[in-house]
Amino acid sequence: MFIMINSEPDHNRFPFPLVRAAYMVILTAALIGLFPLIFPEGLDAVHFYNEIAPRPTITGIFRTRLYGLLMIALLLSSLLLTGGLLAWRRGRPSPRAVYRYIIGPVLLTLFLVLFSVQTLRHPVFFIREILTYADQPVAQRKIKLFGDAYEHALLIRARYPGYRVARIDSDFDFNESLGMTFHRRFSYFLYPIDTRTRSDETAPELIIFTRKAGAISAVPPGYRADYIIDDRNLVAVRKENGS
Amino acid sequence: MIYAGLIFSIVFPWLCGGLVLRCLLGGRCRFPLAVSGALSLFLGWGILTHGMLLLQIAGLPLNLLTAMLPALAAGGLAWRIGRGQPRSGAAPAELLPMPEEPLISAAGNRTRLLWLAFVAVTGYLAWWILWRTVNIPIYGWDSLATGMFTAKVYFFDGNLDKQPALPYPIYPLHVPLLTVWTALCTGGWHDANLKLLFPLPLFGFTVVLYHFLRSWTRRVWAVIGILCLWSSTLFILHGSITYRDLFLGCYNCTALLLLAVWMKNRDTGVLITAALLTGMASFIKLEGIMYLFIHILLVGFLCWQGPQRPRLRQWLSAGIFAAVSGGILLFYSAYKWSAGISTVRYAAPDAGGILSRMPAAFDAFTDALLWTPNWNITWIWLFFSLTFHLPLIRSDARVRFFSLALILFLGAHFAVSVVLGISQNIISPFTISRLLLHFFALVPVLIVLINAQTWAAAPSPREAGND
Repeated sequence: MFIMINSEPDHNRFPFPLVRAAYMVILTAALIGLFPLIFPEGLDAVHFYNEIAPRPTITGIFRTRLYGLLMIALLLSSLLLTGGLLAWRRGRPSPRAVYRYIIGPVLLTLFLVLFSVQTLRHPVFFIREILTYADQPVAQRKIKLFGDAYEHALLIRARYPGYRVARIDSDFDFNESLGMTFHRRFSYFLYPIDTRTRSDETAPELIIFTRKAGAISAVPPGYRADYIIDDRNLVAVRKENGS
Repeated sequence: MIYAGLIFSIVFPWLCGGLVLRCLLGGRCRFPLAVSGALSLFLGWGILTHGMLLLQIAGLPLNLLTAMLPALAAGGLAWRIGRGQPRSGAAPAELLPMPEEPLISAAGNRTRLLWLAFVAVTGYLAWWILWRTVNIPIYGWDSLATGMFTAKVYFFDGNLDKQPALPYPIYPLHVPLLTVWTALCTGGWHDANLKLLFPLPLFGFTVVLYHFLRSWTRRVWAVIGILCLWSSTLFILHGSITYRDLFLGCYNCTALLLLAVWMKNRDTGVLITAALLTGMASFIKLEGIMYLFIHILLVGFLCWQGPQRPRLRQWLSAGIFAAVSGGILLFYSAYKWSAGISTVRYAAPDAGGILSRMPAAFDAFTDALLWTPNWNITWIWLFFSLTFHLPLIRSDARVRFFSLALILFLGAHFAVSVVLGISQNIISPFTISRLLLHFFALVPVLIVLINAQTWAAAPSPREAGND
């Protein structure tokens, strides 16, 4: 940044003290922003992705997140420099000059500061993931990620190989967020045991009871409990004629 | 064996796409090898998946051998046609790389330090993407619920017969079919290995973007452009998960970059390549259909704004673009129609609620643009860049083109969220961020194009305020 400004031919006429003051503001903001990297309780202050940072308020400035802090630094330094430039020069600088000497350098610096902080913060996520998933077989990683949705599906698929039409019965409400997530995961891992594309089947070959209290007593007429994983998880098979 | 299969799953479409690209561009617009490679891969994937759809229409089973046939036929045909074209030719000035230059004017330790920092950061992030891709199995909600579930059904069934009964049958099939292709090549359904497909568009697009920015500006600005792109944590995260948004973003923005090239050189091969990518984008996500119409509008705009030529010839170019890209869209639409699947996802306009929804939608968009760390401060940087350079939008054709594209994309999504009764789905921060990802790459492009000009030369004394 300084390189660009220093290399300008008319830098002697530019209000350098104000530029330095603005950079001090930015630098301070950035250093405050780095605190979360040092203090564990502040780890959530720099979110990695997809989190909405709260809009900074006057009272909340010192506990706002880095992003909001940088925005304030941007506004302060831009105002400071714009005022300084207008006062320094006679006449009106063009918007392009204002951008070139004030806004542009400030934005580029802010961009690099935020990118650096996010990149420095990044290994925290990475190390957490390495500790969780590295040096484990894929199946073990899936169990960590999906729990019984994967583990039970694996057992059932091993017991009933090939394509079969099935229905899932559970105490979970599959229309509600948690239940829906479980259902989609379970269905994915069960396939080729098909629980989704022929859901209108009135008498599927299998009924899979999962997380169902009193699963054995819930087996409907015409079916028999064939594979009992535990008292809340079992597979019922349709009785053929005479069986 | 699995790794050999994985390599083959990439090399085969790459070769087919390369033959088609060579046929389209011939010796007229030679890109550097890495850029041609990325474009070939994008084209090859599209040819492959449309070929797999063709198999379904023809009633043939879906296996490794049959999946290769249509792509082989397309590649063979392209080779046959391309054989008659000159092998070499001068690349237009538009695409010539600039002479080698140091990263910044003051060469020395500082230059090396900047390069080292750039390589270290991008290298580290690339390593993270690859590590995550290989080590964490498919886990995203949308993947398990729709995209990858669909692919798994096709893979085990060996056909697409169940599509009408699948969740969201209207969804396009490019990514599920690509996953099936990878699974066919590796000989089984491996949740971790299949993911290796997903960072490729990210890396490919990065190469393409660097080249174009390098051709249009200086190397230092090309580097800043790539840093802007990779500073988006959402962008790099999507390189390691199995969502379709990154695919759509890469196809969409590559097509626009090619249109910006076509704007200057009016090469029909470049136009058709862009049209193919646009059409293929409509086979990735439903939003791709909306983008297709936006691209047609943009081509119309370029024809209208272009140098004075016979009018008919100009509009013929727009017609070619619309026919090629629309033809690809119609192909899948016709299949859906024949399979009894709805061709549109209809949401009734709710005119009465437009005004009441507008503030909420505006709020949601500003939140997603400005108050997530997904994009660093690139949107804010772009906003200031445009605001302080309004004359540049009028004078620079590329800046004007990309600005218009960005406004159309943002406007279209805003309009959809306000006008249709599905706004509540769209205006969740998670969804908006994913939508923005489809055209986010235009932000670094515009930032670089504007700022590179601003800092390229010292402003006149009048501009500096010495009048």
